[in-house]
Amino acid sequence: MKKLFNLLILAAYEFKLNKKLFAVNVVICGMLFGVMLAMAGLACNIPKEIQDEILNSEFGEIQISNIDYKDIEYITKLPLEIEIVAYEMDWSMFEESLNEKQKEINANIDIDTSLNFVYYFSDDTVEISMINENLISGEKWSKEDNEVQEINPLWIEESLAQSMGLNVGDLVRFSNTDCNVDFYVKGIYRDFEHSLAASYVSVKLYGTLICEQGKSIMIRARCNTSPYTFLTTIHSLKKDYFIVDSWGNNIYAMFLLIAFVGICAGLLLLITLSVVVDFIHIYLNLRQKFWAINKALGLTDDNRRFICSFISFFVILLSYGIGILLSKGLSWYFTEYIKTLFDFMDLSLNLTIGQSIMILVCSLLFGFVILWNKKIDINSDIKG
Amino acid sequence: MIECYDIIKQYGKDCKALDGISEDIKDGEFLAIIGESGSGKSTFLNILGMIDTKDSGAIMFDGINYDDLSKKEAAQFRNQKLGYIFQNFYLEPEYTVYKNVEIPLLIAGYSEKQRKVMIENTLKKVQMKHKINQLAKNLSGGEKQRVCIARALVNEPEVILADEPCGNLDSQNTQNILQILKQLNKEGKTIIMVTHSKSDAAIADRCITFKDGKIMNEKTV
Repeated sequence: MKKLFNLLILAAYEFKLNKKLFAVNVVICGMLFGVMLAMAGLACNIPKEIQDEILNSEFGEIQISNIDYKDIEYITKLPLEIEIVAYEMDWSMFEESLNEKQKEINANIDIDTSLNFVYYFSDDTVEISMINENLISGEKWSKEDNEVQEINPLWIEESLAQSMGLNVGDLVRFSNTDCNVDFYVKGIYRDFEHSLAASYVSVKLYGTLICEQGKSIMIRARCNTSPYTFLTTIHSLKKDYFIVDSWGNNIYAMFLLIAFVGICAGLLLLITLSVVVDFIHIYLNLRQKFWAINKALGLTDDNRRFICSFISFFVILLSYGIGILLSKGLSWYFTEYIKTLFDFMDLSLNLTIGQSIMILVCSLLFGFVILWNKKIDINSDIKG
Repeated sequence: MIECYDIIKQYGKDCKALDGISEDIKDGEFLAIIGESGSGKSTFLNILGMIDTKDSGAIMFDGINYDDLSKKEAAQFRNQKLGYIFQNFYLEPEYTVYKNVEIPLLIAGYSEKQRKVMIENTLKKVQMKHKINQLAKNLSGGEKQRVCIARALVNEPEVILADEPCGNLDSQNTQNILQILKQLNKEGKTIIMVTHSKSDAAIADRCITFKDGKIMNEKTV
């Protein structure tokens, strides 16, 4: 223990003697550490911010005519939680498309968009309990002049349709105590997630109503997976289904930027560490003879490594300290810039204590491993 | 004290620096090794001081075979048993005299109090105590060599190995250094001094002459 303390005294002598060299080392590496830590902060925190930000965000749009039953089946299997919502479901528009007669019928039906209610099948009075969103009507249908007029097109879940013996194109009449409603089975959907099926039906209806106007519907995505999966999924959706809007493109561009920043931060870390080690090597080369003489005086290689490692650790720690301070300033600047650019409200780009310690430990280990291999030969170094 | 058996050291294929040197050095002896440049005398001293390695042969120091020592043990051995005086001093110019002499004690693991006492005593012995806080670069050649001797002595080693200790000194300083070495020898230190000067060698008890890696001549002074 006493010997180790004495070796630290020797390290202190050396540090004091070579303070100018180490000061340059500390300043340069401190700056490099600062930029590296700020970039690492960007690379580590932005994806999380984006992930938080894209929750419940709308990032794309699709033309209604593009989506089909199989598309919905495909979308349900995506690793993203995607909801297809006919946002501005315009019931007034829907009503306008009805003739006067249907309006009357419609007015007599208690259409409640939020509650379950009961219809009775007129012929065999089968009680059907269904959620209102599954029952969508609004297209014209008429038997007159053998012309098909859709009164109440109906989309119905497959198993229910089977139990009722219904097929696409069948006419059905639902009745409650107040009225009877005629439906035309427009489609049968399989056992999907209810909201998706409802959305699908809504989408189809909405599309039926407004497709001629060339309007589109929005797709809402929830990113509940890794940014990488999110990116690849968006890419696939973009390719096959819809045009990603500017927000989606921003996210995509941001991820590319983050990947670039992450690579740069990694490279900078390596450059910083190599600069630290290069400076230590410069020091060792300058002091090669000194260490060789000390070896002749009884210093072991392990002792020398201990002293040099201690010096390099001290230099790395000082550089890191300066780097942390510098990175705070840079992070503040980056934060303000990115807040403005991407409209993130609560953005913090500072690394966590754990991340900072991890980078520091990596730096120390790197310096230690490199220095361990440095050899000093007493005889040739003294003579040389 | 030191027994050498058939020491061979070769550089390259044809250059034999030491060609079968066998020599006994007694405890308390002052041995001078003289010879022309390239005769192998410094190589022999470096091998005795474990600064260089031999190709074959054996060296026993108080019954301890150099070959049996690990690197760590060899370093400890150099620190405690041997004191080395270099022709070029090899002091750290930016260190004070105190710090230069302190290094072997730091390596050995002495406490600050012990170090202070030992350094002051040793510097007094070589008449350099008054320069204790001076930087080594500001010392004259003779003073540097005395500090070098102090550094070799401070650990109280049994053997002092001196490689041309007066090689870079004027005659006055040479005499001073030789007197210090003689005094140390009288105090019981074994001294092995390499020199090219016959007059310097005259101070030793025994003198051996190297030529082409062999001992050509041996005489007791």
